[in-house]
Amino acid sequence: MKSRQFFRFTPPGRTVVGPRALETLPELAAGLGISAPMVLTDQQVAASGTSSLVISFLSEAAPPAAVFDRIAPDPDFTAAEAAAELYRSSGCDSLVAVGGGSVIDTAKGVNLLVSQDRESLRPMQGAWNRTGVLRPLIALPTTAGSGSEATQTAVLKDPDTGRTCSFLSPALVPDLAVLDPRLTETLPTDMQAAGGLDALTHAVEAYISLGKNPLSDRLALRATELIVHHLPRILASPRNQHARLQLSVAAHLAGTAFSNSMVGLVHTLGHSAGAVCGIPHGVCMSILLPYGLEYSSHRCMPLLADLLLPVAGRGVYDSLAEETRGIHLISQIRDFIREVHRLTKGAHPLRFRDILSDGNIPVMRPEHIAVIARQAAGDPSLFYSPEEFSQKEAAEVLFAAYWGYPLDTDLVKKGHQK
Amino acid sequence: MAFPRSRRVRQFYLSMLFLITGRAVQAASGIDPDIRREVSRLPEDCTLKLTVWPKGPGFTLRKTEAGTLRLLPPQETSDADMHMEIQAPALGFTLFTFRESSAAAASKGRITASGELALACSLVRILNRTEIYLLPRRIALRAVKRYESPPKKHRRRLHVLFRTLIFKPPGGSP
Amino acid sequence: MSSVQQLSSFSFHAGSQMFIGAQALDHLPYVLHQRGISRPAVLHAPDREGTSLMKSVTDVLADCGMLFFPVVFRQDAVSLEEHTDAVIALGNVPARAAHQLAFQSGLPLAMVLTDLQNCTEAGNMHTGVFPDYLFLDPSAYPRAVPELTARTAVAALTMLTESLQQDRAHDISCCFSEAGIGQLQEAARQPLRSLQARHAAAEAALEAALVRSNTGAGTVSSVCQALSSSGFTFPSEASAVLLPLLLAQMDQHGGRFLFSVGGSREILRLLDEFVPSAGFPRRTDQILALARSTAELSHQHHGRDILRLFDTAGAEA
Repeated sequence: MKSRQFFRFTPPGRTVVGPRALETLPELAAGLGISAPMVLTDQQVAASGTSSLVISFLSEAAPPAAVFDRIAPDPDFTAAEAAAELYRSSGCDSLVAVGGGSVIDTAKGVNLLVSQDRESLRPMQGAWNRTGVLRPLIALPTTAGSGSEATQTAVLKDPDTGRTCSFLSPALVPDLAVLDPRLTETLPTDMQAAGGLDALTHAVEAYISLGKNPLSDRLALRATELIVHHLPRILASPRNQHARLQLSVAAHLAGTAFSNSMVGLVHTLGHSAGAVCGIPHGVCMSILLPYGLEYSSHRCMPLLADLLLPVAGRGVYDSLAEETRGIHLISQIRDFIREVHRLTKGAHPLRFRDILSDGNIPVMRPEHIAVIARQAAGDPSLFYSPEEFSQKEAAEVLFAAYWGYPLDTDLVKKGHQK
Repeated sequence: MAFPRSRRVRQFYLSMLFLITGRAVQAASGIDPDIRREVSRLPEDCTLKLTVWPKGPGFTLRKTEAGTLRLLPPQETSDADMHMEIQAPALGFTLFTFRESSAAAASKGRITASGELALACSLVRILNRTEIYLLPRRIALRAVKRYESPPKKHRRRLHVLFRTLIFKPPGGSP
Repeated sequence: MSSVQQLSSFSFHAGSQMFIGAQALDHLPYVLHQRGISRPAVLHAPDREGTSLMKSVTDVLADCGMLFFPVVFRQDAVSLEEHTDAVIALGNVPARAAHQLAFQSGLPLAMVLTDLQNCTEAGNMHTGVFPDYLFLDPSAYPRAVPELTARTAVAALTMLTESLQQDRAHDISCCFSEAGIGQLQEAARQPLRSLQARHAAAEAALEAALVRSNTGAGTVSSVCQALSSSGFTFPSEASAVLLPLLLAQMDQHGGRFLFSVGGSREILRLLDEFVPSAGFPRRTDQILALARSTAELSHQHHGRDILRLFDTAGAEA
């Protein structure tokens, strides 16, 4: 990267990390001047008792004026708009999101609605178009994956079109993020795996994205190292508090990195696959990650080579010739995902075809692929992908990921770099 | 800082480039099958706007019943379904002197987009395709992420340039 | 890469939106406009009138039709016009005053910095609050003075090295420290007169300020600040003398994160790159003596720490 190339960097809000970080919540909430927060969560987190734990700490300084727990995975505008209505009718003055990316992104949507006094999120979509000071937002992530507690983005689905819609603004960065291992204690192993691989995708895509910069690079490399080191330990021993906290930190670092460099092809296709078939975001990411890297590899081979160091360690890195490191990284990532599959006893799928619904029916079918590819063409993350792709090429990547065979790289056009 | 130093020269250059690009997009939308396909996926009557903050220049395009894009006259350009705004004249100059691609400008947060971002993606693809017709290959290579030579490029290029110069709308009313 | 840190608690905050690199300043009017700002005060040192820094900022504001009030910074007082709705501070001279002015008035603060920094301008050391916006645009840098760039680089190198070694260092702060040291490596590859090197040093200084705001000042930085207050020297000169002592101690006790940037040998190499260009007077012995006497008189922990550094160095000798 040329040293004088322009970049903009929005750091996360205040980040408090530790095995007793929740105990600082009353003081931090008081510091933000909040007195009547609205707590947003989902039913799984509520049932696990995690949101009650947060509320008990929060109540010492600011008892919640309302609690909204009707947030589904891959949420749409409806949840945010209903929560905004409750916020107004309950006289709330701030938001506390306890949950994964879905809950935190919904809280960001609610914050836009209540701070800018709007009824609908649809006309508020866009990039860099919303500023001003929003209501205080505290994020307590219960999945170490999305990194949404550090990002200036929110992704919500439009219920009318079924498309994922993006909101990008520095104003969306939560004011405070609290990372405490107790928040991820009740997370099932398969969700832990999907979250960790989602964070890995953020870090890897942040490092090869067109919007990369020296700060996001460092954050991405360190996040990659921490994820590769700690995720298998958590899956082997879910009560390992140290590893869970480190994975939360890694997801936070990866979130900060991609919030400032943006992501690419893997997210472009993953957002649409999630929206069309209802596949969890982290699962889409982990299935598509090796394919996305293969597709873009000719554009970013030296960057892929850099990533080999945190993924495989100094020994492997030094033992390989420079020109083979990038390709080796892709196979290392495939091996890592297989290892996660093994550690979750097969609960974490390796290809789209293996994801089954409750009735043992595949949730994605080959006929979905064209729809996903078409929808992906409208995802703004394609701006940041190092390689351009057409719908036909997107479909080829998706087919390969569906059946689990390696991508035929001869089919990838190399544009004017050829 | 901006080059050239004279703001008036820069503003004139930008005005000319926006005028030519707007007309060329209108022309190409009736000629290039890829652009037609892209336009066919836009909602009916959809308007797309690209301007330079704070005082222009800019252009607004509306999808016609015939499935092409029509350049709207300045008095009809109030609201748009999707508005992309280049954040300063100097940044617009960098973009329209093709020292930076639209993808790079977007990735660096130099362009604000208000409205559905899927429409912004469509506009960027349409602009990229039009630039391939308008610009010599060496310059277009800097302006687009991937240069794909369209079939019958030279014949279509002449056609696009001719329609751009005589400003012949590609049929259909807004 | 570094070894993985043990379970610990930490807090991190960096506050400012940063715009760094070519054409960064072109974003200034739009950013202010989005925040609803229309009449900013441009706070500058008296000798900055007509300089490229002043001209760059005022040109870019005028270009977008934004009204602004130039305000000359003087030591005694700074007063703002009525209806001023933001403060834009140019360079390092009015930085402290700008921080305080923005803090007291509650106005948003944008800082336009150059390659001349003492690594506090971008941080929260003056008021506990970070600037809202930071701009580093090479086109706004004044005439090249390699001595000053080298001093900025030495100050940044000291803070970044110490921040990697602090007890309060953690995974987030270390990313910023490593990025800063990476910039100094970049600066060392170019002639210090070049814009690349100057910009890289400026970026490192900015990152040093952000990290120091989170990890606190280290032993060497604290003592250098104390020596600087005495008027005998300035912080970067004292750093150039005292940092090698710290590195010797770090080598003995094992740097936790320092490994990720190439170890103490790499830091010494960078110091050797910058110090000869910094134009420091040759008075190492005086600085060492003064540092020792200052440390002996100090009741603060950094006084004891610096004495330990001397002991380590003495034992080695």
